[in-house]
Amino acid sequence: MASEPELADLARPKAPARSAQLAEYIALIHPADVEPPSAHYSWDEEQRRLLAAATEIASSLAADNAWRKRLDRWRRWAAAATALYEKESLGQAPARMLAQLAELAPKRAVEVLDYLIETSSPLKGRRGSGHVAATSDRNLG
Amino acid sequence: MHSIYERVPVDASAQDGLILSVVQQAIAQATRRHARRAKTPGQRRALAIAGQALLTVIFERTRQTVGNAREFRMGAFALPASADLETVLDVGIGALISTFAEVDDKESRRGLERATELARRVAGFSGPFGIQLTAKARAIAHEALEPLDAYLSNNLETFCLPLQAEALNLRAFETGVV
Repeated sequence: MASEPELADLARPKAPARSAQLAEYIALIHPADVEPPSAHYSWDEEQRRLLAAATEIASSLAADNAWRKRLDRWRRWAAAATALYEKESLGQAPARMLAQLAELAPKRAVEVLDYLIETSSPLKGRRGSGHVAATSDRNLG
Repeated sequence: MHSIYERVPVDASAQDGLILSVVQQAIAQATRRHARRAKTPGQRRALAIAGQALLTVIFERTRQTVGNAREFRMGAFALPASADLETVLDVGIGALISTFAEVDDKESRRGLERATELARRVAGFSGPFGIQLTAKARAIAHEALEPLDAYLSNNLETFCLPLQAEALNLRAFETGVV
C-alpha cells in the first residue's frame, strides 16, 4: 500500500499529443470542457482564447479550397457527438467561428452559410438560436 | 456498487472496517471470476459495467431514523485507504481496459467518465458534504489510474473523436487546485 504522499506525487501525467483533427473537433464541436476551470487564467483570458481558436479555424476555412468537404466532416463529427451524448450538443463555438469568418472573408461566409442551410447541417444552429442570423447581420452591415 | 457500500455498517461497531474489507474482497473476487468466464458481448458489457462500479470511492447515504419517521440522516462516506481498496480499484481499471475494444462508444464513455470522477478525487475535489479521500487513499487511486493512462496514451487514436476528448479530460485535473 502507498505511504503518505506528497501533492506533487499525485500530479496527473501529461496528456498525449492532440492530432490536428482532435484539436479542431475539441475547439468546434465537443459539447463539454476538456480542461476544467483553471486557476492560471481569468474568465476574460478564457474568452480571448476561445475567440483566438475560432479565428484560427475561420481563417483556415476561408483559405481552404475544399471547404465543402471540411463542412461535411464537421457535420459528421456533430452527428457523432449528438449520438454519443444523446442530446443536441453543439455550444457557441460554431457561431463564434461563423462570426469570425464573416469578418475575415464575407464572400466565403455567405457560401458557407448557403451550404450549411442546403445540407441541413447542425452547425448553422437551430431555428432561433441565432447562429446564421448573427453572421448574416455582419455581412449586411 | 453504491447500494452495496450503502449497506456496509459505518460507526456501528469496532468491526465496521473488517466488514468493509470482506465486502471489497468479495466483489473484487466475483468480478475477476466473471472476467475469466466472460466471452459473449453481453458478458463483456457486464464486465465493463462492473469495472465502472468498482471505481466508486465516495458515496452518499440517506436513512430514516428509527425513532422519528420524519427525520432523515444524510451522510457522505469516503472509502478508507487499504490493500482492499487497491485491489478493488485495480480490478475495476483492469475491467475497463480489457473491455474498451469490445463495448459500444456509449459504454466506453461511461467508463471514461467514471475514471475521470476518480481522477477528480485524486486531485482533491470534494464529494457530497465536502468529503474528500484521505491522502493515502488518493495515492492508491492515483496508482490505480496509471495503467489506464498508459493504455489511453498508446491507443488514443483507436477511439472516436468524442472519446479521445474525454480521454484528454481524464488528464486535465490539477492536484491541489480545489
